[in-house]
Amino acid sequence: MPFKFKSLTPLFYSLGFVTVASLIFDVLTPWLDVPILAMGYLLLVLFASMRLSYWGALLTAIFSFIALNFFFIEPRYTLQVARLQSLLELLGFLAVSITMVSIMERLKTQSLTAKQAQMQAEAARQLAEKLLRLRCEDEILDQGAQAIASAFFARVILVSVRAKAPTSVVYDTDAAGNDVVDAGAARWVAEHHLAIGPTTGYWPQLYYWCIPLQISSTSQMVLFLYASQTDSYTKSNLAFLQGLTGQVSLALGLLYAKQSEQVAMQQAERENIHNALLASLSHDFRTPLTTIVGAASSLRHQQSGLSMMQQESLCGLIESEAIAMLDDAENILSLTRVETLGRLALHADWQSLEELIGVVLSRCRQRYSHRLFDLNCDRSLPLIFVDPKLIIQVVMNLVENTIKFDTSGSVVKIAVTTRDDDYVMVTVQDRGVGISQDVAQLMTKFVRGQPESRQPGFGLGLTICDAIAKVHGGQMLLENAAEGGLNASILLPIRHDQEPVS
Amino acid sequence: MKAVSKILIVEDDPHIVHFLRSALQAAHYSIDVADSIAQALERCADYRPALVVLDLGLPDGDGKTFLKTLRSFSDIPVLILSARNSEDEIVGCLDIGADDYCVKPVGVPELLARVRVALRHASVMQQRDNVIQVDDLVIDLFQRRVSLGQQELHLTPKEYDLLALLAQANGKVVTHRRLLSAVWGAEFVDHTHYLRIYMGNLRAKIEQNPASPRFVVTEPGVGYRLLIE
Repeated sequence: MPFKFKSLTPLFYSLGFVTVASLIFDVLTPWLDVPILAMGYLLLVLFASMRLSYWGALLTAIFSFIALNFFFIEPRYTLQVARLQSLLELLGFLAVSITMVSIMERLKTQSLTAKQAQMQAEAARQLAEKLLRLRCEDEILDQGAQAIASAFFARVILVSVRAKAPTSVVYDTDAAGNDVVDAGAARWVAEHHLAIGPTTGYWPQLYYWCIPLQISSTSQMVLFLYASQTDSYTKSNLAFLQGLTGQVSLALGLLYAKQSEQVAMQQAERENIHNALLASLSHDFRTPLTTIVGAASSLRHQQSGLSMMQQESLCGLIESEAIAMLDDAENILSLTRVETLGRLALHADWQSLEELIGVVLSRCRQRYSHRLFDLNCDRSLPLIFVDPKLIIQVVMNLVENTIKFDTSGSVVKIAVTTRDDDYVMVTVQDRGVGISQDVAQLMTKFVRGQPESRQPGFGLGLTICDAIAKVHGGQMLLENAAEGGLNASILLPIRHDQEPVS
Repeated sequence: MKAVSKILIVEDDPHIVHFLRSALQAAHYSIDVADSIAQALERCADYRPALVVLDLGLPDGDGKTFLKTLRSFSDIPVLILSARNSEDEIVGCLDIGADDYCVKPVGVPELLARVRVALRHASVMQQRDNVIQVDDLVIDLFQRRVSLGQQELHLTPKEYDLLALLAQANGKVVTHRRLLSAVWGAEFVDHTHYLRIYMGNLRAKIEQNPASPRFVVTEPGVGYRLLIE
C-alpha cells in the first residue's frame, strides 16, 4: 500500500494535543495533584474523541497515558513508577480513557447512521411527493431517475424489458454516455424480480446495481445504477435505493390505476351518450321527419287541390322543421366533440361578446320575426377568450329554449353583465313556467322540463350549454326569476393576461 | 339587354347540384356543372364562366388544390360552398384567393346575394369607385372621409383603414388575417384582440345599435363583411 502523508494527520493532532496539555499542566503542578491532572487528561481524550477519528482519539489516550507517567508520576521525567498505587492509578487511567474512546466512537457512528437514515427517509418522502403530482409516465420515470442519480452521484439508466423483444434504453441520466447496459443482466432481473450487484447476494462480482421496477403486468423496467465511487455500494445504500425505486413503482402504479379508472368512466359516459342519442333519434328525429315527408308528399300529389296559402305554409313547415333538425344535429355534434375532446375541441380566440350576441340576435330576428328581442349590454365589456361558434350556439340554445317554452309571446330579454371582475354573465329571461325539478336533473341529457311534453326539440339544449360553459372554465345557472319565469345564464371567465393594444 | 352571366357549379352530390341549378336558373343565370377538380379546370378553360361555385368536398382533391391551380391562370371569382364547422378550411381558401363563402345548408336568398356580390366585384375590378355609399353611410376613399347622414364622422386612422378595407371588398367577407396584416402589419396576424377592440370602436361610431349592426357584420371564426345590399 503506498504511503499517504494524509493518513498520519491523526497522529500529529494527538501528539500536538497531548504536548500542549502537558506543557500547561507542567506549569500548574505546584497547585494540582496527580488525580486532578489525570482528570484533565481524560477531558483531553474526550475532546479528541469528539473531534478526531477513532484512531486519533485512541492515540491521544495512549500519549496521555505516557505523558502522565513521564511528567507527573514520581520519579518525574522518567517512565519509571515508584509506587504500586501510582501504577494502579495509571492502569486505571488507561482503561477508563480507552473505554471512553470506544463508547464515544459507537455513539458517533450511531448518530451518523441516524442522521443518514433521516436524510434518506426525507429524500424518499420528497421524491414520493414530487412523483405523485406528475400525470404522465415519462415524467415520472425521468424525474425518478434524476432524483436517484443525484442522491447517489451516479449514472442511472432505465431499460425496458419485454418478452420476445430486444431490451431498450428508455432513459439515461448521462445522455452522452456510451452504451454499457448488459441485456442479459436486465433480463435476469426482470424475470426473477431480484436486485443484483454488490451486497445483494446475487451476481456480487458486478460493479453496478440493477434493480427491478414494477411497471405494469405487460411490461417491465429495470434500473441500472453506476455509482461514481465504489464505496457507495453498501447495504444501507442498497436499502435506500430500493426505497427510492419503490416510490417510483408506487407512483406509476397509482397513475395506471387512475388512468384505467378514467378510461372506464369515459367509456361509461360515452355509452350513456350513445344510448341517449339512440333513444332521441328514434323519437325526436322521427317527429319532424314525419312532418316533412307529409308536407312534401302533400305538395307533390295534391298540388291542384291546395290553395296558394296552403302550399306556402306547407313549404314553410318543411323549411322550419328541417332547420330545427339541423340545429339538433349541430347540438349533438358539439356535445360529442366537447365531451370527448374537452378543451381540445375549442377554437378559442379573443372575442367581443357584444359582437357574438349581435350574430345571435340577427339570426333570431330572421328566424322568429314574430318575436321581439331586447338586449341589455354593459358598456365596456372585456374581451373574453372563447370559441366563437360554441358561444353563439349556447346563447342561441338559451334563446330558442325560451321561445319554445314561453308561449306568451312576450319580449325575450338578454342581459350581458360582468360579475366580480371574474366572469361575464349572459342571461336570457323568459316568462314561462320556471323550473320545479331538481336543476341538475334538468341538465342531464335529453330530459325535458315536462315529461311527455308535446313541445318540440331535444332536452339536449341545456346539457350542451352546460358542457360548453364548463369546457370554457365557466358554468351555467338556472334560477326561477322573482317575477316568474326562468333566468338561464352562462358565466364565462375573464382572463387577465390579454396583451396591451398598441 | 345585359348578357347572361355564366356560372360553373363544381359539386359531386347530384341533389345539391339539382337545387343549385334550379335556384340559379330561376334567377336567370346560365349554368354548367363539373363533378371533379379535373373536369372543373377543363370547364373553366373552355366555358369561361363568370363565377365558380365550389364545393369543398370533392372526390379527387380539396378546394385548395383547385384554387391554387385556377389562380395560376385565371382570376374568375370563386364562391366557396362548405359544410358547417369548417371555418379553418374556409379561411384557408379565402387566404389563397377565394372570393366569398356560403355555409351549407344555404337558403336561396343568401346564395343569390353572395352570387351577386361576387359577380359585381368582378365587374368593379375594372372600374373602381372612389366613393362607396351604403344607405346613408358614405365612404370617400379618395379624400379619406366618412360621413353618416349629414354628419361627418371622426375616425382614427386605424378605424378608417379597417372600414376602407371592408368597403373596397365591396360586400365580400374579409378575413381577420387580411385585416390585421393590412392595418397593423404581417407580424400582428394573430393579435385578434386588436381587431375586436378597434372594430368595437368603429361600430360604436357608425352603428346606431352596435349589437345589431346595419353595416359591418361579424362572420364568426372567419372575418367581417360590409353589408352593401
